[in-house]
Amino acid sequence: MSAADLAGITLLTLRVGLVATLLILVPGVATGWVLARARFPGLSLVRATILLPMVLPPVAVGLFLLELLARSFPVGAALQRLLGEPVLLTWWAAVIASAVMSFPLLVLGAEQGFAAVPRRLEQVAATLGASRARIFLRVTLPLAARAILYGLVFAFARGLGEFGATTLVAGRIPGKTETLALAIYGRIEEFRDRDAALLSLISVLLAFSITALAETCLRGRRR
Amino acid sequence: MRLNRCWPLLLGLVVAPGACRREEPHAAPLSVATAASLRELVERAAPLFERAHPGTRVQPSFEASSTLARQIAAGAAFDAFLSADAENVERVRDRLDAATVAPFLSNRLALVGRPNLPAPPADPAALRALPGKIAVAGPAVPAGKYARAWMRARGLLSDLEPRLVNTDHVRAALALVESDTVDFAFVYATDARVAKRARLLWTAPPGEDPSIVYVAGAVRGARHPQAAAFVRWLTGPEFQAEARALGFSPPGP
Amino acid sequence: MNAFDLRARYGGFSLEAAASWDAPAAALFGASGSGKTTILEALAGLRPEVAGAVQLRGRRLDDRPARERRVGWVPQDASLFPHLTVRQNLEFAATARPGAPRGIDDATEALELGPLLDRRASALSGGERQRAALARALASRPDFLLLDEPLASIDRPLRVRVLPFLQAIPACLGIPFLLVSHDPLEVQALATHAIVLERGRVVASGSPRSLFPSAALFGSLDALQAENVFEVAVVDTHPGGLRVRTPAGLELEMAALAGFPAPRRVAVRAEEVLLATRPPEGLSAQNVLAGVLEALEPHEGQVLARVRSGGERWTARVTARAAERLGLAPGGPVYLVIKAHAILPAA
Repeated sequence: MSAADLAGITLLTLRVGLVATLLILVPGVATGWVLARARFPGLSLVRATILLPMVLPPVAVGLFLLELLARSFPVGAALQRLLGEPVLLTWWAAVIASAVMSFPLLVLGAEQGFAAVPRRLEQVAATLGASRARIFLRVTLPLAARAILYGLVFAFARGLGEFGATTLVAGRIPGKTETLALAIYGRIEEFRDRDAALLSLISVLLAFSITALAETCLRGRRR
Repeated sequence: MRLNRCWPLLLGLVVAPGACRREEPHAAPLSVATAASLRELVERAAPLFERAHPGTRVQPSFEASSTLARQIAAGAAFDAFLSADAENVERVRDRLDAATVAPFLSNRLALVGRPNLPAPPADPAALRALPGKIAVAGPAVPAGKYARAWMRARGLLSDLEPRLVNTDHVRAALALVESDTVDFAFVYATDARVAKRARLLWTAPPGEDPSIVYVAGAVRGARHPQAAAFVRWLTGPEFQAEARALGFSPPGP
Repeated sequence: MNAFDLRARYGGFSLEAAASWDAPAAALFGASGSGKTTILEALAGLRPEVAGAVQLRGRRLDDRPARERRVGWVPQDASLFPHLTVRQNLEFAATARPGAPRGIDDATEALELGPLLDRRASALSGGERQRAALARALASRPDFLLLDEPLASIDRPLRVRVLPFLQAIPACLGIPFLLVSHDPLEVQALATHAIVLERGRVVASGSPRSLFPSAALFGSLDALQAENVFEVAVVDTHPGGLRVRTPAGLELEMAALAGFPAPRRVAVRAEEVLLATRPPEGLSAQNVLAGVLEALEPHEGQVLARVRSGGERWTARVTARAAERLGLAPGGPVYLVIKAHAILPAA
């Protein structure tokens, strides 16, 4: 396997991971906020549903996504209109699989972060006359930021390593959907053990880099 | 308490599967690593072998031949290996009983398509002008290897390569077409016959390169005493008749 | 004109309190659990479970959310934004409401926050936090201040400096306040009108001077934590005062208690007891007791003097400097001087 192939697969994986993380950023933090603050009957059911991709076998989630994204299903059809081609077996399908699998991790981190912000601080801010948006942006969010960041890092890492769901909905198309995880599996199947080992090494290096990055970011916030 | 209510349930989950198992006639089944494309054939023919050898239960595992070769190389406890090509048999030659290794079937390539294709092509060459993805088994899987070899020989591979979707084995490629996810797939002619919705668009003419030959062999030191007998039986009249009925051909000269 | 009429019921506690007052410096007084913090927070608009009318400075507030009430609320734990510096906390308040930003200099100066401005809020001491929180509330230019135990976490030396500032707020800044306290001396020092709460109900209201001591406050004075407490029996009453005697035979002159049953115990705070090395002359104090100084205990820049007099043990608190000047030494004779008003009835 050439260095260009290696670089290509790595960059593809990073792109998929980054776009997936960007996609879930706002919905994930918002969902975490709702779970932390809302109070209504059935909340635990909602939370359990959101956490499903984390608990189910990834292939099971992939199967569900396969149905959801099929062109015969409304969601799949809508995406097909948007993209101009069926979404299954495209780069976007890999992004969607990563996004779905890593969503619960971000939600959990955000939920914990928001739950830890003392209500009293928000109350004081209200009495000072601040609008709800101002309170959220200047009080709640900064105090929850650390936990949200953790959730984000874990979500990103999870998205990078996604295999089970990705293999079902995106297939292994070199140059388009062949992420690191899929590439390793493919090389093993093709008896190209040396290439598989090389790709695994890249994965390990990537994992270390992410954790190191996370540590530096979080250390900066430490008081 | 919640925990008290959980105990009977957990206990039941652990015990039930064991209780459900029926009495076995023999201690271990005849474990056969079988190429995915042989699913229907082996499922139909196995009872015939079992009847001829009472007390034997054939237990096939259907995967890509390359996957099975890897498992055998790693020491998986199979008794026999039914591969869709000679290459994977060669890979594990030192694990097999050389005396039993022999070709037993041959097959042809086919192109299938989605049921509602607007302009179904009659020949793979026509794929060049059509849009849509083409499902094919991975390059190490026999079906994928054969398809790629055929396309390369006709100068189609470089054109079609960007549209190829790799699958784990030939049946997965068929499944993508059956589920309307992909427009076309390269499979075996025998797969097209058992397809429920996919349309057969083209079959390779008999004798066309590459020649698709299935090779079988008993695993050396197999636990089941009937392993070699099973492999021999594959070239016998009973099995060959079933194979013919499903569209397979004898291994040829 | 300020008034409230509030009702609530939760967790075994029921609140039914109504009061109205005009005084710019008012206090809610009561023991812990009497509901005073609940009422304060309800006035701020932070207790949706408390229903009823709220009016501050003539404005009906109960139909408005907290952010529209223009009240400055200083909770007991200050609740500064821990991730911001003091300056940022103040600026948050100054710019929170739409309109021209307000300055933070007045409050900063008055509360001596200058050196603390760039410190992170989480790195301040309790007293510093309280002052910063007060400054923050003022920085939002409220119409009314709600203070929950404003002096609680401020140590005595600093109280001396902060107290005058608090007292001056209504007059100098034009902002009336309502404070919550369980310390009658704090109420007396800061408020001209007190509302007494007991178990969720208003049991008395009026000027602190007339309320303390009074029958209604009998139970609350335990919070005084006076160092000198004696069992007594009343031996004589006369206009303006009464004379009580302890079991050991010590007799004390007390100030009159309006509408009050005879006390069975009295309490005197250690800092209300003066010490003299010679029998004082020409003093207004009615209680001058001869005794022996048993021990001196230094304590936070002050000295606690343990004195035995009239068969009873007393504790007096003076500054270390005063003790030095007097040349106090254990074993020597001392005189205790206590005003009649300093002897309070206790339950």
